Amino acid sequence: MKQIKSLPELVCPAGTPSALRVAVDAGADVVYCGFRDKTNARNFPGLNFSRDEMADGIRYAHTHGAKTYIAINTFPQAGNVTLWKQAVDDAASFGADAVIVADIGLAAYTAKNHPHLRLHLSVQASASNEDAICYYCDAFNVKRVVLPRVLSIPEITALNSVIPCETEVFAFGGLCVMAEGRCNLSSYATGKSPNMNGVCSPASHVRYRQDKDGAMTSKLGEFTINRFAKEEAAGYPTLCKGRFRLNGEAGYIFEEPTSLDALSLLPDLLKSGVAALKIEGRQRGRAYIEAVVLAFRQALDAYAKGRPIKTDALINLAEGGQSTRRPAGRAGPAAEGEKRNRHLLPRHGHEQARGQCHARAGGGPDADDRGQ
Amino acid sequence: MRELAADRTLTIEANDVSALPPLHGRNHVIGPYISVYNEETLQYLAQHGARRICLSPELPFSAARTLAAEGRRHKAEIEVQVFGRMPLALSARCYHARAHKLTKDNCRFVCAKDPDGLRLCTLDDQPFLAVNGIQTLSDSYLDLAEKIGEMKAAGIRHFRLSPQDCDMVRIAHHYRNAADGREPLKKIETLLPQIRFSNGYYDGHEGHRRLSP
Repeated sequence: MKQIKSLPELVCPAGTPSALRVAVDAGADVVYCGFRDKTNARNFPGLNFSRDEMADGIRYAHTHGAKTYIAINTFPQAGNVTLWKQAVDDAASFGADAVIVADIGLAAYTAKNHPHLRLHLSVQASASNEDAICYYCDAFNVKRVVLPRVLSIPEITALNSVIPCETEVFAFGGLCVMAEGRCNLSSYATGKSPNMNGVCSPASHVRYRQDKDGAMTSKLGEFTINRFAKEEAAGYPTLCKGRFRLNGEAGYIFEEPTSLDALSLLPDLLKSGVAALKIEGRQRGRAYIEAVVLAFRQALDAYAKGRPIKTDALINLAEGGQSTRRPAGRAGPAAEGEKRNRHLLPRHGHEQARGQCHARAGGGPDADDRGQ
Repeated sequence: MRELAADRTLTIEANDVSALPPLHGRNHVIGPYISVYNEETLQYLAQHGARRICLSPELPFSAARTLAAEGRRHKAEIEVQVFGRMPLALSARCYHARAHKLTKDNCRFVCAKDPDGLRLCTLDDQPFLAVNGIQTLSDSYLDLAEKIGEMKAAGIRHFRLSPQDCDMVRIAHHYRNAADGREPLKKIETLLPQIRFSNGYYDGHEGHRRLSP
């Protein structure tokens, strides 16, 4: 294999200061994180960074040769925009290497008041075509766009040849099949949304019910999202990963509870011209972060040296790791529907991802898959 | 899209940011799929020609009121949907084609078979959402007839009826009455007894809820 001169950045999540250090130590080129408030799309209890922690984290990353990007990627609340502006101001003063924003007004504020602060466009901005991306580049001098997970590698390659900025693509973690930043499904059921509250299908609204026949029903607010047979592992009820009935058939109508694993796609992804590979999961624990970052670091380094990539590194991790992951073929009341739904999977750019449930049976924020 | 935008006789509603460059500097409308959640975004879009902004259904009245006040300073008016299924999500996938075992690229426009959308129920058979091609909507119909007076007082002058497969002339009369401050002849539930209505988003609650005025 031909030796390549440069590799894309490996952009890794950090929900806590200790996860940041683990990610840097494991070989992340960049860590991305958010402030502990509703300015970012992982606004979960116990996650994220105080101002002091952020300043310390950036210092740690810089000392070890890594960068820090700060996600300020929810949509500022009418009448309370100051909280989001302050987050941008603080990111700039702490020396963040970029801010990741989704809102047009906040992008305008950042471009005007911090012209030297590198501006990245969050996947929550839902910019998935040339004209939309060029709009943000022209208007706000956006340097990089995080692409939605629904684009195929040929589509990514084509975009890279026509847009004036870098692209960052998700390589591992949760899948989101709805257009990010334009999805109100969560708030319809729970009153809390990614755009307004930084949460999707929040744990505060999740209930599990053990039925008499041993089945487990998971609910989000008042709505049943899934039902698992006695022997079936119960996953977290992320709304768009639920089993529903449509046209009389039950199944995973929108998307199965699979997570993205693009390790096997790395050679093609690297040739597509992407500037960065992103790992989803600021809500994940240190052990998970360390293992995923290590696996991708090793894969990238192997590729650079012309050695084969170990594409199954994270399948083994998932099966024995902290998440309750399951094989794609599940028994249960909706098995027929599941089979039918897979027919559409080749439409999905990254859907060589292995069928794994990334959710924990006990609930909690692990199962959220919204964008960064 | 660029050809449409070049036709100055048309009023264009942009529902994707990709439509904004060709509309730059001419009057246009921003639809609910472009996220306008705050006055900064409204101001930016208004400076480039947005004259009316139809808000995302999840925004509460408190946000709409703030945006309407800001809009007055920038010659941009606010529009709020008051009737019909709420647009909740878009996807790259077509769930309608999928439900009919067709691929998206050869869908035969099966969505036309379901003019009111395809009902999606929970495993308990509770109606939940409606599939319409790549769009997912609420199963419940939004009804804000009783809120129109309050919205008018806040300076909101445009109210959207999303057409459903029903007698829309009667529905339009119903909301015309409400917009003109007249008492409705009948409650909306009487006009469409088979439909579940909701208004929860208006006061910042779950969108599916039907709360008393």
